[in-house]
Amino acid sequence: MRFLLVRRPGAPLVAAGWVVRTGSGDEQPGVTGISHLLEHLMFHGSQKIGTRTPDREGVLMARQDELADRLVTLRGQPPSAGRDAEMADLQRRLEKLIADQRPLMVRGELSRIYRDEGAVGVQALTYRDYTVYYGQIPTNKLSLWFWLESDRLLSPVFREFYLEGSVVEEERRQRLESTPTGKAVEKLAAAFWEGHPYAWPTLGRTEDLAVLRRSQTEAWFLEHYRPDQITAALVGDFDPEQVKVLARAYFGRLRRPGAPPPGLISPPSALTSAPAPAAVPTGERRLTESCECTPQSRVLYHTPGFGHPDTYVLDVLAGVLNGRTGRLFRSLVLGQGIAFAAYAEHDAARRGGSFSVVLESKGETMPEALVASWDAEVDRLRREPVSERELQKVKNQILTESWRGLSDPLALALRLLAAEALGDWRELDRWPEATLAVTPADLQRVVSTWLDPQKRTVGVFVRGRG
Amino acid sequence: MRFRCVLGVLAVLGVHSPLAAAPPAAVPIPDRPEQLRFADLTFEVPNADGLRHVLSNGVPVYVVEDHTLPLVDIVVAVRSGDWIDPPERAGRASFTAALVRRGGTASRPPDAFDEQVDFLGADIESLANVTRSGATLNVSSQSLGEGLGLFCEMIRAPRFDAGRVAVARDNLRESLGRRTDNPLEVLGREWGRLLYGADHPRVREVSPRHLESLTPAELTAFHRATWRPDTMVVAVSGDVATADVLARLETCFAGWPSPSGPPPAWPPQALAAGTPRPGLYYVERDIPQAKIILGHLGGQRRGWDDPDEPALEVMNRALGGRLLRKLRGELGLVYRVDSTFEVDLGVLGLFQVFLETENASAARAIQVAIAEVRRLREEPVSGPELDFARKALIDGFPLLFDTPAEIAGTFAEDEYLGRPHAYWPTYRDRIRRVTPEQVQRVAQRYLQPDKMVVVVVGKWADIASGAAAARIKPESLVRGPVMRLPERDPVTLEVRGSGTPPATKP
Repeated sequence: MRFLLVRRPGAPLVAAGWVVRTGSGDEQPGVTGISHLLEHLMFHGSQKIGTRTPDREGVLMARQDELADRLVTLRGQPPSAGRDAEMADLQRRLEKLIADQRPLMVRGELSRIYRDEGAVGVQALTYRDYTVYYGQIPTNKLSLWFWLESDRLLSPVFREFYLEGSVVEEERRQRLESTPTGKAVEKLAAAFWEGHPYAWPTLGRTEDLAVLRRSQTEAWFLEHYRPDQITAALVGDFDPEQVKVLARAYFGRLRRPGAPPPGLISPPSALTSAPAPAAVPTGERRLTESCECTPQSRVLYHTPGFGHPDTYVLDVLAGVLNGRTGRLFRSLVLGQGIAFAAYAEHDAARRGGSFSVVLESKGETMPEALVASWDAEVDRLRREPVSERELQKVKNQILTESWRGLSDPLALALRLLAAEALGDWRELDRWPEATLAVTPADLQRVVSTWLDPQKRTVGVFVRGRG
Repeated sequence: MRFRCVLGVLAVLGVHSPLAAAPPAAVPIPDRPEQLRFADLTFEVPNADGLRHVLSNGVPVYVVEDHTLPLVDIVVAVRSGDWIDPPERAGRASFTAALVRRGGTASRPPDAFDEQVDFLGADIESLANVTRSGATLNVSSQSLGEGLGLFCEMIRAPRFDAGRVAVARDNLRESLGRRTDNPLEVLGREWGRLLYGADHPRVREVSPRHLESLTPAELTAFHRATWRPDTMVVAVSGDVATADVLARLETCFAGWPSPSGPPPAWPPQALAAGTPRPGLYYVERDIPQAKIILGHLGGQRRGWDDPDEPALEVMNRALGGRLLRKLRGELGLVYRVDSTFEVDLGVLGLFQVFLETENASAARAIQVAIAEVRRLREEPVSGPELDFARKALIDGFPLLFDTPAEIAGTFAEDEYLGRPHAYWPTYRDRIRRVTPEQVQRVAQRYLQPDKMVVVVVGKWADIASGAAAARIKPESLVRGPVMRLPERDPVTLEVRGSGTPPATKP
């Protein structure tokens, strides 16, 4: 386990967090959503937190697991009167056992202790490549953070496992199913990443969540939450010497695993010369989706993963396209007046990246027509070198932006952890330097290499019922 | 101009030790976290008066130096905002503020202005809300001179370029057609209209008929009348020398007169809201999750030393904690739920509980939430709940002063609002003194379960069958009718189909 410490004298608060290098990208169909569910369950306590009598709870949970196993088996069978009756009976007995456990538990104790001691915003997020747990802790109570975080890594207990699925479903309804473009974007991502572990959302697939069992989640925890896969970061007003002592005492208790960490499906180094790892489709793929949303086109290209030298060039490329003086705004919004908004996004994740543009249409313009205008921009980028001044402008923006990203303690802690999860925290220093070295020729080469119309996925969203 | 890469801006005190290899140091690890002992937290509110300066034209400037990063933040506020606009001029203050940034300046057409800002890597924005307008600058300290020059000219002499105004108006018109796409936006709109009435500045929205008057001449006149040095407050933070930045600001605003007319009255005169009719109102949407707001009008600020205010803050925290524990923790009905009680200046605040839950659970969730609101009136909060709420407010307090930008910003806001700086050093003591009796008293005084307005956006058939399964009659949830709200045309926000009554029984 590594610790990154950044001292920032100021208010007596420390932004503290840790990241574990596992996320939905480690899953397979059948267990999608397990990383995210596990993240929720990490707030349900440990052998010491959240319980009145851990032993008696253990007995009840073992019985819950037996019933749930049988339920999962039955769910896979064709409906029949006998099966349905047994399932109803099992469900009733399971709920009874969960209710029986309740008086033995201290619900939400972890969050309660943090709140009571003045910690702010203690939460966690699951991404495709990593899961991060963080919050802001009063400086004088840093030892509490060490106590609680090391404790939940030492002996987590996944209480109320069979209820948490409904909270996750609620989260899905909010994030994916009740927003204007949520479902359409999910379908587009699934098509773009077909055959790749980024194809499913971090929330998981509903059918997989319904059959997940506690024992699987415990095994998942043991396999992935190991100290050699975890980095912590603290940013704020603290004494580094004291922190080092606390870190060794508390997190030194985590056992070093014997076996090496689970391998990546495609390590970033393999991408240096190879194309994007997703199954590269032949010819363009085009999807049309209806949603109650702004008519728009989205164009997605596969690009290399985190750390690949072309990722810096792709960041500059996004800079050339974005902003008030970017090419997309100047050409599509101001010049041709056919777009309401247009912007590019570059995302370099561990198992591959994507470069995408979102083109929102204006007036009577059909969203497909925007793709043709985008193609013209790509063509120009391929043929003509970007001027020195335009390039310098983007570099100046990226450099100041990199400083801005260091100013807020919590944001800095999260950036450090994200960079660690994907590769190395030093990337935060390397990024502006590498960006400043990008040349006009680099941009032309990268556009030719990665923005290949034959390998892209285009989503056209039209107005209508989704 | 070129930037140099500042190496070592990020000085990580690297500890990449394989911790497990090191023998655990001699730190006693107690069996329970309660056994940990903490040193006292010492946090003193910075001295505002020491940070305050005044330019020769009377503009107050708060400066907080911080040389951690080569960046400077400047925030300017002026007393302009939607509250000034009469109903027939809806959108004027916001549109003016937006075009201050987008329409170029007296000496630079918009293309040249934008190009210069972007080349500096600077970030300049402008915006307005109900009770304030203003602009922000974030620039590297080595480009402060150029960045500030652009920023000041933009504030003093925006061009309101006709071409850019036309594009912005077009885009605004375009965006009107999307206003009913997002269920959360629909929820907020209907809730606001039921509480305040459609013409209240807090909820008022632009219609096509308002767009015609958003001309360069109109914007110029409005800007001249309300963006003026005699109502301006400035906050500066970051990599500056105080004397240097004050001299620059002095030059920048020199010879800029305030108009002869008086500035807008402040604080805004109490903007009357209608009398909301209690009831359960719903908008039909085919979504799996109902989005719900319930509540009523909140408080009106009478002064900065109102003894009810700390008790209301504690009450609101306690309610938020309860709802989360009950609805998410115990019942697993929601992913998020929160509670807000506003005591506002001028504009009457509101009390609201916001939550999202599967349609079938909506009635149950509403029932539980209202029961918790009632319980705050009927019994005093428990000791632990009170402690939790007070502690959360007290311990979260230093976050207001977490960064130099927040310190300068909070004090500048004091001056803008008319809030004394002395409000802060005594804040935690006021919260500490709140008792369970006071919480119950303010709950009885300010929470009105009988006046509850509930708005739901969701699939009513599923909501109704879920209610039936839980043996809850929707009409028994609140006093007043259960009504379906009609669909609105997104562009005009008029009710769709002429002759439809504004609300019909299901």
